[in-house]
Amino acid sequence: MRSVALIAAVAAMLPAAAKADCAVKSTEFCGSALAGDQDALAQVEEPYVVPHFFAIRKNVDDLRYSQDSDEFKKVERASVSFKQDYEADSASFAIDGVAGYTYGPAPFGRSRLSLTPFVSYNQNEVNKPGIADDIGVYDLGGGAVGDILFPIGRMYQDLQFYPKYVHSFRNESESLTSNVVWSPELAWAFFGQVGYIVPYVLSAQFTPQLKVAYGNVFDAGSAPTTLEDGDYFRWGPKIALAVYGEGWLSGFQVNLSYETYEVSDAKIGSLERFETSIDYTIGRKELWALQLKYVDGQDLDTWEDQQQITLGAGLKY
Amino acid sequence: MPGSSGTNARVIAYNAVVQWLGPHVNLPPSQIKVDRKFAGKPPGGYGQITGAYMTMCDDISRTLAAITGRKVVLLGGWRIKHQGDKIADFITAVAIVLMAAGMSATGRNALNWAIK
Repeated sequence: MRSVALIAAVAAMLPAAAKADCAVKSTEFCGSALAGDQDALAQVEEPYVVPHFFAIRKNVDDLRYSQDSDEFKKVERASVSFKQDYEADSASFAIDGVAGYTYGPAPFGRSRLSLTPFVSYNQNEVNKPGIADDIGVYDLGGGAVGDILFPIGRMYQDLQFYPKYVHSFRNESESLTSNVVWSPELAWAFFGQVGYIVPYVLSAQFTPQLKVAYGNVFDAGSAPTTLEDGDYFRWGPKIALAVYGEGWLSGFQVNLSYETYEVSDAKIGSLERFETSIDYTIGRKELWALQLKYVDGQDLDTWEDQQQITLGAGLKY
Repeated sequence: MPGSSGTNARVIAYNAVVQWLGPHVNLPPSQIKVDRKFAGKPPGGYGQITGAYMTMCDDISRTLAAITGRKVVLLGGWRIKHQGDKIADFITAVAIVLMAAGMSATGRNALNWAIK
């Protein structure tokens, strides 16, 4: 009884005009429904226009976020860095980045769809005493990313899929991969949003994913490599944790991620990769960053072993 | 009744949003800062991912419809457009939708019953 009265009382607060024929459509606002403090509320809402934009990032997954997006602050920057590898007793120079053109997201009911064609370049030039000068990675790639967000009941699912061609100038190998990344978009604390451990000082957020990849290495190239001609299939989970500082910890961020894959029809039966980094960002838009990063495992494209610690500066635009 | 209908609509929308967001970021609703955004890492936002934002829009639509008796629908294009808003601006946008929404059959019945 009390709740029914509450509904009636709240309804009565609202303007009578809104009870009539005024209905909000997807692209327009019916201003005549407003009464009272119209000045505090917008009269007209511009229609939504599906965006399209050019972007440079470190990861293909991040190309979908425009500079106006809040996620832009989370994306990793394309980078140029010098690296000292204590495990291999070597020094290296690296370039790592992707460029793409995104169309979307476009709404379809409660779902969304976007598409991004892209090109990528990855160079890792290693100088190691006593070793031939063919050590290094010089990979040029191209492909497209599709992203669809859709609900199953109350929970949303994000499905990204991207075919990617990679040509290695190191050994002239050529491969084509088709990747699918499924992210359950849980709305819970510590998953769908950050969860605060210490209010407004320290927060954390987990990101679970399941990745599936089908590859066709149609030319293994001339130099020794773990790649070989033929098809392969790999699948496995990835879990990432981001810890954010604010207040007196402002600007610092710690990231950890671990991913492991089962591989079939290839020389390697499994892949795993662990990454951790400490970042300090500079400036209001965080365009520049300093990063200390540790990687242990295999490169997911070339399958080569990696154990590296990197100190670098990053830029995103 | 204190305040105008616009103010009341924003108060209703404010309560619906912070009551949803508080437990979902492990904070009391009273500590939610509406000058922040939903997405983006702290301190600018609460790190909300798109799927969680969509779930929130679904949930507050149902909450507002149940409380006010109005057919509140936050459509796909509207959701994309306001996803990057500060929470305060999002609340105002929800209030506009709320005020413009027509009464549902249940809401109309409730109103007729209450004023008899």
